[in-house]
Amino acid sequence: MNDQRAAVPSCHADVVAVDAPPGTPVVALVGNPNVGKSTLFNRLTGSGRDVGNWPGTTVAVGRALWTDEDLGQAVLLDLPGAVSLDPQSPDEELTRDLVSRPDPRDRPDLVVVVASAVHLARGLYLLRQVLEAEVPCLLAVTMGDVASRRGITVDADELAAAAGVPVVVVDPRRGAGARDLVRAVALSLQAGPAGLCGVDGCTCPRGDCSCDHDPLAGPVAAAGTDDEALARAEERFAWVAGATAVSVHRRHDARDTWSDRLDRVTTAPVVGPLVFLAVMWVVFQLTTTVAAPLQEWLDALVSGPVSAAATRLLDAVGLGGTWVQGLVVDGLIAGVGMLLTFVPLMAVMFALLSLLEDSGYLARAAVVTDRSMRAIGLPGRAFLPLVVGFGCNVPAISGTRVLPDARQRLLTVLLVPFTSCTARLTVYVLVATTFFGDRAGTVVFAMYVVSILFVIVVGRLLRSTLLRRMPDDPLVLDLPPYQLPMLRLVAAGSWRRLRGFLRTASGIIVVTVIVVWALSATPAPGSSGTFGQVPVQDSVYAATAGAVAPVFDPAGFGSWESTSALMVGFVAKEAIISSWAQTFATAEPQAADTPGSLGDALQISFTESSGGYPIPAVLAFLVFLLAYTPCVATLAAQRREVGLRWTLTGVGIQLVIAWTVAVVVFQVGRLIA
Amino acid sequence: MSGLQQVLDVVAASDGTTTVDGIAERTGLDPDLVRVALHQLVALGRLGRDGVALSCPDDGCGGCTSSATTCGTAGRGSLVTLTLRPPAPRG
Repeated sequence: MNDQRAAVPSCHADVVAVDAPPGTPVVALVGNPNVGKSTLFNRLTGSGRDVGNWPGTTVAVGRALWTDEDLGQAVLLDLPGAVSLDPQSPDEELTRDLVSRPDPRDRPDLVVVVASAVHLARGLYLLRQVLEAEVPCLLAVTMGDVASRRGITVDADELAAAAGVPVVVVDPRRGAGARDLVRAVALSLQAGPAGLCGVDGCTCPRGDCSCDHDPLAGPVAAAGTDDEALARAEERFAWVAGATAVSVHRRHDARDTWSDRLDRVTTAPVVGPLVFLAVMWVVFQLTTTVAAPLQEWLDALVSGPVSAAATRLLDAVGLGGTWVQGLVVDGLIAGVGMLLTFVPLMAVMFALLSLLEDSGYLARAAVVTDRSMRAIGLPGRAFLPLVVGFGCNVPAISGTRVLPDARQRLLTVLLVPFTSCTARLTVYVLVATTFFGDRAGTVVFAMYVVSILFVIVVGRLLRSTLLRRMPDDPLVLDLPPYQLPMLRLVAAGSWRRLRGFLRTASGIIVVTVIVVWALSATPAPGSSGTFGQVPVQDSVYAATAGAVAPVFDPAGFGSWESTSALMVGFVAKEAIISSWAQTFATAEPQAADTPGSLGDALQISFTESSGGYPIPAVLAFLVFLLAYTPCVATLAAQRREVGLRWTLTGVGIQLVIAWTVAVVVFQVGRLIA
Repeated sequence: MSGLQQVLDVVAASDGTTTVDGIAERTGLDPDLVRVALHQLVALGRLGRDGVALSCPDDGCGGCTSSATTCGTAGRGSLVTLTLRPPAPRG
């Protein structure tokens, strides 16, 4: 027995918590999640719910004194929703522990298994396990109205005969059947433990069972060898299937649920991908539209009053005009501060994604993606890490471990960097809002479409060259039902994602900003300045980038400013923003308090480097940004998963593809322009 | 053929990805019964169950390098995958 289970008290020990006299029977409500268990609890006890955490756990359990003229008094427990007594979560573990404790005297006097008429088979599976635990029980069938609308009826008498327990149909919301339930509970409590075991026709008194089934064997996994366990599970399944077959009747003209109808659209082979693209377009359009004013305000705040205040403060303490001012104002405030102006944007984006995830839609998007992957000959399982890659490439690469085949893993590891992570989003938005105004959302959306195209094309190329033979292992997808998003869960999901963004910004980006500042404050060989007193264009930073910049001339962004940003982007893509902010704040410090000055500087830089074709150059830059190496953390993850040789091969593939496509985009764009 | 074995065979024979509804269609079982079967097969260790986190790790890039699968948090609306596992050795 583990510590947590040992810490769980018996049901009877907790009776004191609701001021019940000693000997008061304990009745527990047990059921699958969302079957109306808590509503029934409140209905029976007059909403006297006392939610508490059991010692040793953080799981809430409802408790109340249940008083009724037919019943007398009982303590009613509302146990956490459980799919079965084979626990897969702390909630289920607590329910299992309380229902099937080794000493029968510690178990509830009666368990009411609450099952939805809509999904009766799932409830019967739980009932079967409760019966096997030798706990007196009865079955309460809820949600009959919902089942009826779906053309499902449950015959309570047939069910009672098949299951071997009393069955009561109850509507917790309206109270119908509640009186029948009270009477059934009272009768069961009076009958005591004898005769309530319905498994295998066993009628032994509780705790004195001589039948060949072992009530203490516990859940499926505990049942002997693999073959024995399978046989036992088959027996359970047959019991559930048999009880369902005789008691559940479906009308043939029954209507599908709205979730089913929606699924037919969102997962349809042709319409599904179109719906997915439309949804993502709306996400990016809303993100850029809603967040833009907030971002501009923060930008003005950081580059104006905050920078000015820091400068005045440093002047006041005698550090004005020194390298310290350069580090603080042109480095940390310009670099990190500029990145932080993207917090509203990321918050809106993450809130929308959390909304889609909580509603169940993102799971459908994964199915659509999977189908697309398989249609082009990529293994089904490979889509999972690729989908994760749109959040962050690092866990996506770690996630390739779920792939059993080494070639599948290698292929997926090489493809993940082409999925556009959220770090790249900040750069897309800055560039898109600067150059494309109201169409920024569409441009950002287009980058994600290009990302998918990269995955498809590169995947096909790799499969037809380096990785020709590859198995496709079976995988089952279990889609959650559509549900109305819960504000609390959406807020928690958004905050979790935003916190990841902020931690990256406050860690690796601060270090990068300091290194970039140090390099841009160091005079290049042959220049005349001193440390901290040199124009950035004469610094080691500019000289290094300037040496590489001609490589990008055919793509239209062969300036040292763009090249240095891309070089810094090897560390982390968010660092591109801070790098530009530092570069232009240092180059034109007099413009630091002018809102939008970074955008203006970028306009000038791209116009000059492209020979007057800034739009094709910017598009080429964005494509290069999308396709080249994501960050050092991704490289480290790749090296760990596939070794140095394949990591370097991957970097080579990324750079060649990124450069080639960027050149094509610029040259074609220039011709069209 | 017994129900669980039937479901297991359909999963094993599927070429790539399948869904609960797809298994229900091929076995003739109700989708709810298929879910019960899948749940039992997970409990038996014949299938592996993973919630797919479609989000970044909580502590930013690089925060989950030792993760076995994905390391974001799978929410209630997340996709769940089930994959075949070899039977446990006899004994």
